[in-house]
Amino acid sequence: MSARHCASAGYLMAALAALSIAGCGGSPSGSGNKDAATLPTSRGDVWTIDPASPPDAQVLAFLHGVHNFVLKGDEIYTATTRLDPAPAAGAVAAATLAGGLALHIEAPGGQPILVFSSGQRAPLRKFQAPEGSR
Amino acid sequence: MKAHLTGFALSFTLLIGLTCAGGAQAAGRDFDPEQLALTYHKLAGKPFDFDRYAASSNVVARASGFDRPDVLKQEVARVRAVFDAGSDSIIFETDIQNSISDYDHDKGEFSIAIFEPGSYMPVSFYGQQYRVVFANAEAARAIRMPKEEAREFDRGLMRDGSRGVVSSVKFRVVGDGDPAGAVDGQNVVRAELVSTKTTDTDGTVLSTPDLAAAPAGAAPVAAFDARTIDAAGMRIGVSAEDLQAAITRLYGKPDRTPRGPRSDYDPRFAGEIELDLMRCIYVQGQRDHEPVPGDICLRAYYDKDGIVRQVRIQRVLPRFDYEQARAAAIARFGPAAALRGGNTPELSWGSKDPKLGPALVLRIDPYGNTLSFGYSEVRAGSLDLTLTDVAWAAATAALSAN
Repeated sequence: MSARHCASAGYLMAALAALSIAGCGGSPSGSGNKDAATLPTSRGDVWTIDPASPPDAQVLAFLHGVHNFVLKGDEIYTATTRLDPAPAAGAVAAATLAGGLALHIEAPGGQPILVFSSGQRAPLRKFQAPEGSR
Repeated sequence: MKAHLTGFALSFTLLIGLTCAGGAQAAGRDFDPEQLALTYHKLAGKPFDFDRYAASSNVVARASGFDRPDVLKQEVARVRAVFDAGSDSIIFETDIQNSISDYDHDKGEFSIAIFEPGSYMPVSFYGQQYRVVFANAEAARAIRMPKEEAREFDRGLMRDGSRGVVSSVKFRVVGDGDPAGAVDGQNVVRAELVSTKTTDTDGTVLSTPDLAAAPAGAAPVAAFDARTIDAAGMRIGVSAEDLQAAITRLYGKPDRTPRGPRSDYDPRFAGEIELDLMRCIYVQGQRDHEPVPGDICLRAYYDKDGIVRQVRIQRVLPRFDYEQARAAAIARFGPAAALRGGNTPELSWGSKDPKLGPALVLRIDPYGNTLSFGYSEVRAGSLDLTLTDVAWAAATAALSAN
């Protein structure tokens, strides 16, 4: 899962770079809810947990919003929420969740897996929005 | 549901005296159910029909026709006085006959039944059952000891061939609902243990936990702030454009529809964003799609300024375990304000808008009862979250009434 970055950001002056990054999405939301974030609209990849994953992992994933998410670099976005990043030694990304829970994404053999600190595991797959099916 | 079975089992083994005459103003041993119930109604803000209750009392029934109006007036005044005196500083006291579990070799503990999640103390009053749940029961539940000591403890307990014990409790009423979301009913009294002592049938003391250091788990309902949490990633208080873009990226292109003349939703909403709500329900003969794990349905309402005020998201899952989902939800969102039981239980958090509902509602449907109309072979379950900006709703209530 390689994260892509805004190609132009590195070539602009600092101020413009900041604006450019914001334009890629992933910024704090300016809508008035200080806890909200704006989901990256084009950068990063959208991942979804395999619907054949164990039910207990799917329950946790839904309650914490990580059943579908954008992974941009090591940042995880769930709709209008950006998860608090956590140290991710050896992991693709990691985040702390409510209730003392945490998660990390590992990719043994190239297959990404969402792993909760309570032990539940759910394989991930790239999400493709259903064209015209909705 | 196991939790309910536990509660019912205990309801047959209580020793509390519930036949006290009405009118007590100070709680104590074998407390007065009337005082407990009225204290609960006051602290929970739940209405109580004083006139009707007083009219059904023995003292009014025994009065002559001539005296009855005056006696009724006095009785109403007495009941109101009990209600007015209700506070969270009143200490109620009683004995509860229950049992101790077998030794859990993995956890190294015995467990006292009345303090386990889903257990409650039933109190009958005025033809209704009040279910007293101890919010800080976990601090009193376990009797921990190493296996060597446990063998002797167990032998002593079983001297009379029974695991029965008596738990003497002192508690105070602190509000409404089971914070663990495991006990439902019309009147769920949230109580806080002040002290407890569990003895065996010979009077030998088995447990006197120190509750002073334990969190009460009885945070006031008002502490829940819908603006600081998310429902499966979606937040209220964000712009409709931001949410629409996020939904498009994560789930697919939604429909966004401004309010029209035929819109029948709350007048405070100026429009909606919807992602095929019908995908999560099977209507025999009308749709060829049955809900399958992974399906998502959602709807968000925004106000006249384009700010999202309510979001609802439902995901279809493989069938799952109710208790696991309930516990995970409590860990995620904190103590629940209420639980509505039935085939598809609903947990709720936070204060409630009369028209839009509680700040957060989670509908737990392990067996897919809500996924079809009538008979169907849908082999799935679902979780359904609705998050509402109740602070905004309160501020705009006048508009809703117009």
